[in-house]
Amino acid sequence: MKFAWKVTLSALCVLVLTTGLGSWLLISLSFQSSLDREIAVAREELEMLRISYEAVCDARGVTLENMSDRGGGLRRVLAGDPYFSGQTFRIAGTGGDLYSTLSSPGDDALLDQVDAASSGYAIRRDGDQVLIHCAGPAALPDGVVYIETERDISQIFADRAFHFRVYRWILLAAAGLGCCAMYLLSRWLTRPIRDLGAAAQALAGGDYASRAAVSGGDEIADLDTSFNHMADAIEKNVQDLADAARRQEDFTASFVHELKTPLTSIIGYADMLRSRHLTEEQRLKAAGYIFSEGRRLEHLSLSLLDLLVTGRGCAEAKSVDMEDLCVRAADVCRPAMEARGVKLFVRAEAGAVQGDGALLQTLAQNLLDNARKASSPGGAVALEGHALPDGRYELSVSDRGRGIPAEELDKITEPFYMVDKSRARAQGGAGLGLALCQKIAQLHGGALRFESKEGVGTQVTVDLGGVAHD
Amino acid sequence: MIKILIVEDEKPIADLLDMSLTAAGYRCECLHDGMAAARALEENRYDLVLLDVMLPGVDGFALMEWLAPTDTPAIFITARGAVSDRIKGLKLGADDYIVKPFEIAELLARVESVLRRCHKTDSRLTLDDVVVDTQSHTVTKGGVPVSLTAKEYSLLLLFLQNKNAALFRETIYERVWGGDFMGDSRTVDLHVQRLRKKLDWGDRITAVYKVGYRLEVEE
Repeated sequence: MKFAWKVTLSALCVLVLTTGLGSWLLISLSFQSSLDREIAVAREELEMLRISYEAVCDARGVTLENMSDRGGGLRRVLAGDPYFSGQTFRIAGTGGDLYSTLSSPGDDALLDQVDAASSGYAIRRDGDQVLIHCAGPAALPDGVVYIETERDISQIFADRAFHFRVYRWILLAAAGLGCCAMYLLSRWLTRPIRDLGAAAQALAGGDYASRAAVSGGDEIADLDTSFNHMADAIEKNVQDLADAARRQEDFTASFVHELKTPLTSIIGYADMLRSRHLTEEQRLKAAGYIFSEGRRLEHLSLSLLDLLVTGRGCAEAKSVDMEDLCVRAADVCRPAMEARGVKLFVRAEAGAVQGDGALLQTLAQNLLDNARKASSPGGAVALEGHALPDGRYELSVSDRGRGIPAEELDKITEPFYMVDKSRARAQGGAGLGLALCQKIAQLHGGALRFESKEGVGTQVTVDLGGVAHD
Repeated sequence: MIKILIVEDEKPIADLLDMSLTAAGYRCECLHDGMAAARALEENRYDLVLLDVMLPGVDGFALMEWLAPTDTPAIFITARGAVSDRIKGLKLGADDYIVKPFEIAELLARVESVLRRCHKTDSRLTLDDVVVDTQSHTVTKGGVPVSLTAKEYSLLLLFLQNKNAALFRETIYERVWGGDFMGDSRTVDLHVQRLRKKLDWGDRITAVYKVGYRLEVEE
């Protein structure tokens, strides 16, 4: 059952119960007071009658003893007097009725209840007619007779029944109207919940941008806000997963390409050599390609191995003297620099980093190699080391080479990414150098930062904080 | 002479294609990036284009736009062997697909069959008095029809596509029977014997010791 219907039906139940009970109470109370008034009037009438009767009897000297003798006269007086003749009543003695103008036979049971000192009343219903019988004693000089009056109170019963009928209709109409109003109201109140449900459904269906509209400051708005936080988290996770999957896919595709390219040459030239007649020149060319592409495959496998091993983390962290490391890295790279006609400057401050010395040296050498490859003869490369005040150590390698296009900067640390593929190939690269550098930097709590301008030069900076301890 | 444009950014592979196709009697032109290829396609006419998919500048799939109006048949060469890539290439209008790494015999067979399908070459191959009609799949020797089984016919085509090349038994098996060679050379030997006998090519198809066979043709 819909929530709106639940609200409507429960509200309807409360409405019907309260108004029903209230109006029933109201009608009953008003009926009771009418009845009490009627009873009081009936009692008063009885009292008046008793006094009048006693007075008449006194004036006529009627006693119980002589009542049978003088009864005729008394009856004439009662019938003749306009006061008495306007009343319906009976006089009963111990022996039976002495006088009666009642429309009904009279209520003997009521007479049995009353005695010389008390009076009473009873309500008798006869079909639609309801009568109130009042009975009480009247004192004669030598005894007591009983007077019984009757009073028609059908009207107040009829009124009560009428009120009940009217209220039933009012209740029915109120219930119908209330039902409509409550339903509309609860639809309106539950609208944010339905919107939230729709948003959740869209989210489940794969629309990760789906959000709930937050309005007002009630609990539903809080729920909307929480839902949106959840959706943000989900969207981010899904995005991260998709990114990771895409990177994985890119890596695999690039890897397959990098693997198959040298393999194609090796297999193809080997096939040429084994099955075709070749000239001496062709034979040398084929063999040369098999050799160089084999070397390329070797380089690829070694670089990949480095990347894989570095990805696992470093075996042991020692304090590495960075000044010493910079000098050693520069010494390794200097011959190649000089061969290309590139000057190498080193300026390193004393400092230490917790980490793997061999990996850090690979990092420095790779960056220097890249700088060399980017430089043209006559260029200059600088390796600088700064000990930062917070204990970190900053390495920076700058060149005045050809620079990196701005739109490529954020991609160059991805495995197999090469800005200039043919040149990278010619220089024996597989596009894994910077990916490895980035891994090493991450391992030592840092990251590579590139500043580059095409045709002006590139500066790579990496700040090292040391291996993070678990 | 059939003119083939090779677009491949890896120089070793471009040279390999050039070397093997030139040896098979085609004239080749090598280009190393997509933009140069697009220009060349606008300026010159070629009978066939061999296209690498991953190219700097304009990639192989995009080059199909330049190719389509010239009605030049194209064969994609790619490292990606995924079915979806093949379908994409073929949908774009490529005539065939070669996945790296490939053998020379496969390259030559695909090039030949695309050229034949596009009527760039004569549908009849001739050597001595043997004529192979590749359209009707019939073989005649001195005008007399020779009845060959399907495998023998494929074998004959393979030899004619690879004249003077030493065809290894596993290459023959893979090209003709289309499966991995399991080391059983008798099937290959048996069919070569039958082909020799039917065409009387005992001296044309020579055995290469411990390797396979070669169709010897005077240059």
